[in-house]
Amino acid sequence: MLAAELKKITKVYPGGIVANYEVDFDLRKGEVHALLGENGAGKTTLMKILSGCLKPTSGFIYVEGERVEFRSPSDALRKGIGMVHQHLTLIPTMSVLENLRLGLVGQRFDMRRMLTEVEDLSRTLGFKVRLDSPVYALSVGERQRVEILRLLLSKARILIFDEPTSMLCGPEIDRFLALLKSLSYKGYSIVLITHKIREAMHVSDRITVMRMGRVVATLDKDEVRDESYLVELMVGERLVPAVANARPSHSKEALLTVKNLVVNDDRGLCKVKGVSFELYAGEVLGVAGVEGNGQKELVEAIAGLRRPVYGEIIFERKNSYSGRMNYIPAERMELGVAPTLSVAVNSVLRRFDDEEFVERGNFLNFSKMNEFAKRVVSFMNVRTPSLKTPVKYLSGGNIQKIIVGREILTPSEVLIAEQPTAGLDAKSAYQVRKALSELASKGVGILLVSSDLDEILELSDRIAVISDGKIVKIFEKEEADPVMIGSYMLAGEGLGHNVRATVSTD
Amino acid sequence: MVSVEIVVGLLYSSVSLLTPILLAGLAELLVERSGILNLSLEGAMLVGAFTAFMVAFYTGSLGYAMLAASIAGVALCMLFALLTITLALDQMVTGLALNLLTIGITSYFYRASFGWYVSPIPPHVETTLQPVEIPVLSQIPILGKVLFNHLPHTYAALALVFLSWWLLFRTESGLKIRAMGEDPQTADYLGINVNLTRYALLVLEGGIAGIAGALLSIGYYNMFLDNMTQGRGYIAIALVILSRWNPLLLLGAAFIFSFIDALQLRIQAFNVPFLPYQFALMLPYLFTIVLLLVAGRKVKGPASLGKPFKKSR
Repeated sequence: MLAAELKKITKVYPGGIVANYEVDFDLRKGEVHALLGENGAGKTTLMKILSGCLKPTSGFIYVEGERVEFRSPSDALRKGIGMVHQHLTLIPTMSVLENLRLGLVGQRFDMRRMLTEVEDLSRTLGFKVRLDSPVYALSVGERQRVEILRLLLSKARILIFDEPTSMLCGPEIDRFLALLKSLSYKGYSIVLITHKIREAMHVSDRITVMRMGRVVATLDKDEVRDESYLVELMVGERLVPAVANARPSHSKEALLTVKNLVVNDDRGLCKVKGVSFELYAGEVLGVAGVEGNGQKELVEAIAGLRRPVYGEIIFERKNSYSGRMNYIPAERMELGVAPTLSVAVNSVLRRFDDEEFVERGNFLNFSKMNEFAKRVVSFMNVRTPSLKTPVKYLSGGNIQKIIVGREILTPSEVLIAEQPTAGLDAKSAYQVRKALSELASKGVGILLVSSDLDEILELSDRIAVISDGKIVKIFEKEEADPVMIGSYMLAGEGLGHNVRATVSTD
Repeated sequence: MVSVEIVVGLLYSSVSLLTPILLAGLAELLVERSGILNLSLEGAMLVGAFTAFMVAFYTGSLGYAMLAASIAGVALCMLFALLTITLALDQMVTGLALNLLTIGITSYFYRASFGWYVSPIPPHVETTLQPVEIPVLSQIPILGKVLFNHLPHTYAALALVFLSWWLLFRTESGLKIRAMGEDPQTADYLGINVNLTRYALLVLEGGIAGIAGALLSIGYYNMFLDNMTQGRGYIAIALVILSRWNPLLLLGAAFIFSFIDALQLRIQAFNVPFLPYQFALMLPYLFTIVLLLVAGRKVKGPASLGKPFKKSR
């Protein structure tokens, strides 16, 4: 029995980008169906069509065998289809309760009934939600659960998740995937949009692979013998899985020295509680930690975005030409690009002090700008209709590639890379890692902050584990071990004593 | 005692002066909570003042005058809505442009009706709005005199403070309004009709602003003067910010402003030597700036305030 079916869906965006072309897709009742593909393959567009957020240019939608047309997401929700977007759609200044209630507007409302339903759902799904706390105070994982709760309250039977694990880390991911599974056992039909093959293989019953706006294949999970087969379907070629990390041992020349740094967050809570480290030339220093343990504030302080309360950040410009610190921010749209400006301008966005692009301090040299933009685009394989296209029309992955390409190709002494591959597909992530590794072998010091421990292990020469605002341990690459790093990551969260005890006897 | 009478008089006129600003401010507050920054509030008040005067002058009916004033206010706000919501133009620029337009239009039609030279005595209406004494309550010493002998609009404005607070924070409609002010895209996803709600709120604002303007021309005065609102609409907007978009705080902010306003009128009347009356005139505005400096720092309004919203489909 099919819960929903899409037939011959074509979507052409204004501007002529064909996001979907004659796509067929079906969802069985009670299954977890992974929609797998690279960035810009058209997965999100397709599901936005199913959830009523976008209108297809042509094609048909069937829900439980009945032909439907959605004029809005609420139309789709009335038919039981709800989507959890990549950017969560909660109102941060409102309380959890108010946000849940917003999901029920237009319906007869009964506070007591809603509270019992919330309680029932929370119990069966193992959620703990504080209804009166404002959403901005919740972690990303908690917000996601609130959003799921809201969909369930509004009686959605088909749940679509767009890259739900991209903002989660380690244990939270496992917890989330288990939740998906249990939802499907309860009879919910689930679409999981993802580019992570392991995740798709882990929870789904069927996998549909998309590439360049088309469906390449739909497979039962049992049919998939080999994960690399899926990679091939996704990207059309085989890849080297890991970056060969064979750099000559780095020097002991400190480019960046951080001493006793104390930083508060926006609400005035102390997030970085006395951090000291040195970043050497030609090394990748990975910062591992559970999200929200001060990484964000640490990076912002070093990048000059946040005034530290106490401590020193010493950045010595050894090389007068490239004596600069580059920064790949986690918040791409806010800090990384000017969304309405073109690819070309965004490629040189951080170099308006550079004689090469701005002559005599005022006059833009467009041919030089375009030349550099072309290098960024070809270096990172950015998919864009032209250099003149405003970056906001590109997919999230392509925007990230522009930022990474720009920061890598702009000469620097120190590069701060914050979640450089979050939301990127395997192939692009590989490109980014490779580029970072090569950059380090040229003598640039890289501070890599990532919630992806595999990435940190793959790239780093040293790994600093941050927990509760303190660097609790710095591992050399040789002695780094995921389990041990994991236990240090949780050291500040109450497990501390046991873990430290075990580690010290080691 | 004379001093008590002075204080009572001062407080009485504070409450009285409070009314138009409070009415306009409350309407603007609701609109801003939905994410629209309507500077043409000033213009809506001005056309209200003008229309009320004209209708009262020619028909002699204050009822028709008030009705016409609110219709004129609604018309202006609908023009604003059409430009900023439907056509998604910049709200700030549109609002300012409409205000300049209304100054021109009202002055033009005033002269078209009465000729260029209106002195020595400008045309005026015979009857103006009269205070209503509330039977028992007005007998309370001091408080009764200060609070319970006002225009009906004053009572309505005070009631509206609590009504709008209740609407915003205790009803589903209020939840929707606040949601679209924070994030109209999300509100739209959740099935809230953002544009329709914003239109409705602007109708409300236009009507109320028109009446607030009418109070100036046929309530406190009996004539119309060029640009007679003198920035009261802008002050109302400043007070909305100062009150952090909370109707209860708005009542306080508006009262402080009108108290200073009433005070400066008295300073003018006393003719204090070495203190030109222009200085007194300046006081309420100066005070607003000071108050904004002190209390208005780091105030965060609705996240999407003033941003054009276009559905992406």
